[in-house]
Amino acid sequence: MITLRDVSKTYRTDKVETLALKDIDLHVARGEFVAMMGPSGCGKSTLLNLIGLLDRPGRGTVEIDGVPVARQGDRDLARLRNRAFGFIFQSFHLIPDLRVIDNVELPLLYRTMRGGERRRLARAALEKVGLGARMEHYPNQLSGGQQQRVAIARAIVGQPQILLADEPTGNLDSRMGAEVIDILQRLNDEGTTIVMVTHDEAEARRVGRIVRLFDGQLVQPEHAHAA
Amino acid sequence: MLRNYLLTAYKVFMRRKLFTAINLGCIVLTLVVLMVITALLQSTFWPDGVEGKSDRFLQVYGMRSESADGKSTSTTLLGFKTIDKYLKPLPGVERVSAFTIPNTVSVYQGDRVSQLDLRRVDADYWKILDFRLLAGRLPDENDDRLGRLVAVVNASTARRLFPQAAAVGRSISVGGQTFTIVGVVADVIHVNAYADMWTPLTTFPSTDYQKDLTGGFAAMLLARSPADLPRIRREVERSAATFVGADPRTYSVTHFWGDSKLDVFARTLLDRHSVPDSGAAQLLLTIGGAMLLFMLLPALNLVNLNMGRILERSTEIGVRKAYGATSLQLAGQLVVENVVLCLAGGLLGLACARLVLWWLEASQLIPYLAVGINLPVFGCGMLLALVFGLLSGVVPAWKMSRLDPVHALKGTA
Amino acid sequence: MLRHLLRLTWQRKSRHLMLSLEILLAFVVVFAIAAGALRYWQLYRAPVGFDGTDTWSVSMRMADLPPEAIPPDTYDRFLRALRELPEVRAAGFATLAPYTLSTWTGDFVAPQTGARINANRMEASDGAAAALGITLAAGRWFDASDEGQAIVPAVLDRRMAAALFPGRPALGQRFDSAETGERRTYRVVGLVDTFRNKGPFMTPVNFVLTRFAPHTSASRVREILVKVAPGTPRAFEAKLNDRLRLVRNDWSYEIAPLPALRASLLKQELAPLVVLAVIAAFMLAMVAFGLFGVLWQNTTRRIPEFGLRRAIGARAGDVYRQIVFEQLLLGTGAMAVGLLLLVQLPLTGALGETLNWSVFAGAAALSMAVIYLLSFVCALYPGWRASRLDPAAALHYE
Repeated sequence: MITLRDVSKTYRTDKVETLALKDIDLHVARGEFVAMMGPSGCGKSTLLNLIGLLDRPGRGTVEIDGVPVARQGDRDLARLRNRAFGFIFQSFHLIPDLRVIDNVELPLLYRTMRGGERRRLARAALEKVGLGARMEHYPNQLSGGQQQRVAIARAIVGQPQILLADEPTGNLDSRMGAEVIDILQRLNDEGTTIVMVTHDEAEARRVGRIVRLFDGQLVQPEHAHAA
Repeated sequence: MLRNYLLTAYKVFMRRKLFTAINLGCIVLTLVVLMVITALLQSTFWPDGVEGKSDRFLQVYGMRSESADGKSTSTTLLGFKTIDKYLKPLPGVERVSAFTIPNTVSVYQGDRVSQLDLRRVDADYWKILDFRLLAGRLPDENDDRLGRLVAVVNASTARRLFPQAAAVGRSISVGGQTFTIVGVVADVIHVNAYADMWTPLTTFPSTDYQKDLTGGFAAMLLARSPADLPRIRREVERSAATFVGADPRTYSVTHFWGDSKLDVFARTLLDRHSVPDSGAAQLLLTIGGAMLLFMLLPALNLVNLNMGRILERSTEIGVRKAYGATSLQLAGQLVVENVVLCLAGGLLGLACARLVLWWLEASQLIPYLAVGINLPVFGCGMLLALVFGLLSGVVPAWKMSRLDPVHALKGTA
Repeated sequence: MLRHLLRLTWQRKSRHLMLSLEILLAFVVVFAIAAGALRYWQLYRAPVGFDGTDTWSVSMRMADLPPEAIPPDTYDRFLRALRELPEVRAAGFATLAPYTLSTWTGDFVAPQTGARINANRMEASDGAAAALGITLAAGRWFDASDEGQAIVPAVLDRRMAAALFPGRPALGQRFDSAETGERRTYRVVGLVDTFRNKGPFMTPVNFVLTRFAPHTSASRVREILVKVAPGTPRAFEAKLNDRLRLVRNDWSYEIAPLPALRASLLKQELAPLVVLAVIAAFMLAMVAFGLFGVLWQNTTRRIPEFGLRRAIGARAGDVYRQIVFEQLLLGTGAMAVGLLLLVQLPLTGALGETLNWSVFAGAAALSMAVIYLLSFVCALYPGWRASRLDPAAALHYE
């Protein structure tokens, strides 16, 4: 459902030009769980941002469900980000001044929905990640793993079709990291398409298809061993 | 170390130019207002120019009579007889001048009527104050003695009354009396000097003024040297004790005082007519306190902005702490930065204050105003800027120095 | 969304404390100015009780003589001299000239209750009403039939009439003055709606106008009021002066048309308001600086949060609106506290009539509008900058 054709992206900062991505052709089908790997600075986060419509490519086209996003205005992009995608970041990006339940229902505030309905969906999302008991707490009262689970709950509360995770286990220890991958696996089994950037080779092998990047370009894609 | 601080300060300010501009704007606005007020106060209380001998003379403005039980009081200006009987005979005084406060009179010139402020003064008035004579001459004892109807006008009035020609030698009708203009002086506004026109005392329509114990008069007592002033004050106080009023049964005690200009204002504002201490020190303290209060809101602003700036620079702070900077050194650094900014603002503010004063003079909101920025005002202005910098730097500096280096370095301060 | 933003702002309230204090201070200052201006406006629109358009006042400047030293027929001679001038329509005498800051008060006794009522008073002659253009609401002004009466006729304004004779008609009634030693009886011959000798900005007070008769009163009346023909030039003053000097040339005369006195008094009375307005403008400038700077800082610090909101579906306009709204919310909080404090003033009646409810409401509305406008303007640029951010860059902002 996501197709990238001939995508390139250059960053220009203070007269220094960095070519982040070059001639990327990528297709992610519905229901896939794709892991993107590569050394630091190879452009995997940039690629994820492009897929998630957080950024526009310098050259090439990005298509969601066959519809190119290049011609879409800010309003339509925002709607897509709200309904089609869910984001999970390495540094969680929870709002520390809000309770867990308020953080989770944040995406729903940008839809027209009644307060009661929002609460219901937020509570359901939290139950799904196993944090139903922590609704009234504040992020700084939770451990790293719990915070990331809250972030996942926030990403799935709007029932998006695609989840994009940028090194979700980067700031967690191995046990908490494994828990997070379990949750993602479960979501994928239920039909959510997931694109995950990761450093961890073992994690990548667990999930499915691996896409490798090096210096902004794709290396030959591999498929995971049959589970 | 100071050089490092100054360099860092400069870099920090240049990094966020809009921010520094906002800070600077705040500081300059505050300091301009304060410096304009300082300049105005300084030229009122410690003048040079026409009232240049102020450190050598005292003025007596007002007398207060009280009944024995203190319930009835009467506060009036002096009458000529009071000055003549109780002030002129004082020993060791070089000169005593009796003069009226300005009164509005109508000047008739054919079909034209002009409203002018008139003072009636004696010859000693012209000797105590240093008016700048532009044309003609000043009245002397002969004019007083002979009761000549002569008048001195200031330059603006001369232009108003006689736009085409010279004013000296012309005649005007003041409230029915015909005067001849003998001199033109430069415009001035000051406590004793301000008027549009001056005529001798003897030109009052009747001589009844000489019998009045109360009236519209004030007096100036010129001493031989500034060191003489305390003695003369005591003499005036002693003389007031011997005062016998027109109605001694109702008002048994009268006070009047030989005052400096500051004292005159203090007495009126604080209503201290019955005690030797005019409350001048209190008045100055109150003014200083008001200025401090005035600086409070802008200081609050700066504190706010500085706090935010600290959080931005938490990494830098963390690094400095990790390399052994003490809390005091860090606090000192921020205070130095703030003071540098405030002093820069002070210099800019001085220039702007000069512009504002020029505008004030041109707009004639206060007629004949001429105020400059002299050394005392400059010094005062820089002091204000310093105080301002310290005031707004201390709290953020203290907070900054208490930052935990670990959190600061991680950016989660 | 509203509740969400409310909750967000509430959680962050401690960070915004200083700024809220600044806004509160500015609000109070603007309120003071607005209240002052509105009150002045209110007073200005109310009638003063006389019409001084073609009236000139002459202040007789004489030496410190006891009242007995002025021969009573002096006043008659003045009147005769004035009537000879063709420009003069009417002339009278009074102890106070309008539009000067003179006040003369006295205590009077209400006959029924015995209460002491304080009032402003003025003595005026028979011709003063015509000279000043005083119109009576009931009864008559003083005239020659009052000459020689032991009980002095008086004209009251409505406030005084209501205070002295509550619930009863005042015309024809008698009352006494309460001064020690000088127990005088007065009879009400006329009523005026109001009399405010100090001009349109004077707070309405109780007023008692009593008849001045040179041959019987011992008062020293120094003001002559002259009604001149409309269009009389200012140069008439010279002629008037000469005529007056023919009667007494050892006195000097200060002549001024009432409109000129009015203009200078108004200027004098508005001066403090102007000074206060300048101070308020300064404070507002300070608050604007502070608001803008702090908002700029806050927005910069919250860039990752805004990046996140954009990533989960907020439009650029949503972020912009959020920033502006949060700022208005902050202002509302500060102003609510301010209003709570300020409403004590009319509730307790601390400032009396000066701060009545209509002035309070108007001033509150005006100052709230000003502060809201200020907050809005200061939020515009930072909000615009924040909303133009690229979500990807914002999320990784350092």
